[in-house]
Amino acid sequence: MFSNQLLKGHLQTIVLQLLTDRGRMYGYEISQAVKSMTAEKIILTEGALYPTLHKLRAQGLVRTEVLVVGKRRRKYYELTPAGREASVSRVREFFEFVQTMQLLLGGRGKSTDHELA
Amino acid sequence: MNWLSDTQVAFIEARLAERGLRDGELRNELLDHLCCVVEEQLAVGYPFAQAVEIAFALFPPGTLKRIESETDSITLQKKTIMKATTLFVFSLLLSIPTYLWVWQIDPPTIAPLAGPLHITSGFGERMHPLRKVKLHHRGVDFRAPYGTPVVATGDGVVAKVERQPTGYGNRIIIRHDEQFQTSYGQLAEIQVVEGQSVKRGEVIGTVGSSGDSTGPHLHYEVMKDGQAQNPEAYFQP
Repeated sequence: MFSNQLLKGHLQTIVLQLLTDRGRMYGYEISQAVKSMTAEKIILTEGALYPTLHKLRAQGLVRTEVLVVGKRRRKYYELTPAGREASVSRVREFFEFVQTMQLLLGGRGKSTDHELA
Repeated sequence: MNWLSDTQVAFIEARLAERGLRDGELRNELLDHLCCVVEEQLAVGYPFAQAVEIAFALFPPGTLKRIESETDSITLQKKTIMKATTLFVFSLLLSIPTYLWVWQIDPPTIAPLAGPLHITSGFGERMHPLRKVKLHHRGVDFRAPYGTPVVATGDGVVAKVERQPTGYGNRIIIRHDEQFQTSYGQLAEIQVVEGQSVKRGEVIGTVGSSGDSTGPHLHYEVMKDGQAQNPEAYFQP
């Protein structure tokens, strides 16, 4: 399992991309999806998930809709047009970051191997 | 998956309230989350009481209150920004009359006649030409040929048009702003009506001798806050 420290900057990206792929989701559904997709390597704790969702809403990137399910009120999250744009740009930014990190941490070794070969 | 009964949901909600969570949007949301976890645990065979413990274990002590205060501060920030914006717009709207008022201060700046000026009687103490007594002259007299165009000395609105056989004769008063008014007396013709907007330099009438007068001339006054001013201070001779 990855540390919270490592995840912290990427929580919004994870949620935005999930909503891009799946459309409307509620909190529990999001936490379950992350858990099963990453084989429990990433656990989006409830304590981190809900503040992230509320922050995204305050930024206008997601909107919410409350549906009554049985006797319960279930709050669904859905991307706004601004949220869709943010999702694309943040995922792109993340991959650029990973590539850059590879240059620093792992890429050098690999490229040396390649040159030797 | 079996749905929780109303009693079970109420039980979980009571536990949430016990932890100090305010009733509201967030508590409803977390209640749904906890119920989902409980339902999942029931489905894999745990008894209800134990399923509830497992669900609440996801929120270690202090976590619920922390989530509440974090979401509070997020919405509060948003509200504060909205409040500040509203306040800003409101104050802008409030200050518009001030801007208009400042913008409207528009004293007369030119002479009321085009062409050469012949001042026959200045502002202040003088011997009245008809009554032969010393009187304060409230304006300036310009001698000019009969029919010479008279122009407004500043932007404004025609406040009054008078037609009298004595005194000022045919007379126009223009209101320029909150402070300044100008008056044009002894006119032959009046070419404006009350309430009409006029521009600086616009012809409003012609020189005549319609009131108490010894010959064609323009009697011109400048009033600031109702007090007669020396008109010569308001144009470049």
